[in-house]
Amino acid sequence: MASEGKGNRPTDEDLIERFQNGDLYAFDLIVKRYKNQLLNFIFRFLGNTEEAEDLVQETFLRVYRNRTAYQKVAKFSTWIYTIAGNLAKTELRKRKRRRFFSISELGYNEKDYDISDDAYNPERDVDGRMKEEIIHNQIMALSPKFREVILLRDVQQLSYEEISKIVNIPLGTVKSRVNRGRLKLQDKLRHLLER
Amino acid sequence: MNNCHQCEELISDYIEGKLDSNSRQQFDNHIKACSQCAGKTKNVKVLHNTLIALPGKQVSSDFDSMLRARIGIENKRERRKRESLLFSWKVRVPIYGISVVLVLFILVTVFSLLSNKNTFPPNASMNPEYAAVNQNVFRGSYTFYSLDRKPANDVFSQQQSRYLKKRERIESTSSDSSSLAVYNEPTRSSSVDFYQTSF
Repeated sequence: MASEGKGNRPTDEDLIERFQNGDLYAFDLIVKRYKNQLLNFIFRFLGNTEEAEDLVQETFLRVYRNRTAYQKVAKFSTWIYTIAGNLAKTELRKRKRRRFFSISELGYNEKDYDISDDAYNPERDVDGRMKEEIIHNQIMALSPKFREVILLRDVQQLSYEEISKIVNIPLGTVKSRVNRGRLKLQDKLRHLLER
Repeated sequence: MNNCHQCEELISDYIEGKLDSNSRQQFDNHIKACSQCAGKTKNVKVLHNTLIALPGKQVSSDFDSMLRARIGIENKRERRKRESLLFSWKVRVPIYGISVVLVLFILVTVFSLLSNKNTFPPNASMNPEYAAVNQNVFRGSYTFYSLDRKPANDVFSQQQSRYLKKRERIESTSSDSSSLAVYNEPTRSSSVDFYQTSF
């Protein structure tokens, strides 16, 4: 996580405070810290790099626009992930309204879809890239509520408390959702994980 | 640990090392006896480590410049918003200014009209003649009245005729014209002067 200050490294909270006081360089540092983290989170959530990048920019734009709305009582990482998560979920709802669905973009629907095992051939030597693609597809096949917490916990490595604040659900529900999401994923990726 | 369902619920806590020693012992005992739960636990652990190790994506090279451009547009929008707010003030301020000037003008006019009353001598209000004049001033009439409430012009003509009669009388009784010097014909510099000096 980018939020902790180590040595002379300012914390995220210090940076946003400096930015609130008009220091634009502090905003540049925030962008530098979070741009790739947010891209990975939104990309894994939406499955499209261009859209993810566009939403990351929109996230920073909202931080820029609403900088005065941030209160130091909350962690900055929680705040920025909440913005990014809300934007990603709004994008999913837009897609749902457009009723856009194709087999190449599985998982955009709320329902969990099983990808046929044909996509994975045990006889074939699965290299790292293919393995990553399979895992990504299976994450995308999860329903958004499981996908979001799995990504925040296992990919972004946020604490359960932070996830609880970002997703705005009780801590116990977060833990249970993460566990159930992992069980679903391990079930679908069994062949890959047992190798 | 009584059954597989309970075991499943604790898998994440187990692999993250968040179970107390007693629960951990029970969990270990269960997965030793249940190959299915042992397999799931192993898979979840591998999955957890795999997800952590997933290669991260990098933003495109033009990300920063694109973001700056969008922020520039945002700044322009904010500036335009402020200017539009100012514009409304540009319209409002003169309106308010003109209103204030008008109110001040009305106040000054009323005050000056009221203060005209005080141009007369201090005891003017006690004098019935001045009182009559005041009344007519405020009615918009500037005709002045004498003590006997005849218009001042009539007083002037009466005085003039008295003067002429007196002059005739003097001329008829005396041949010395130098004595006429004390009788100067009254002049009318203004109605007010005449009025004020006549009595």
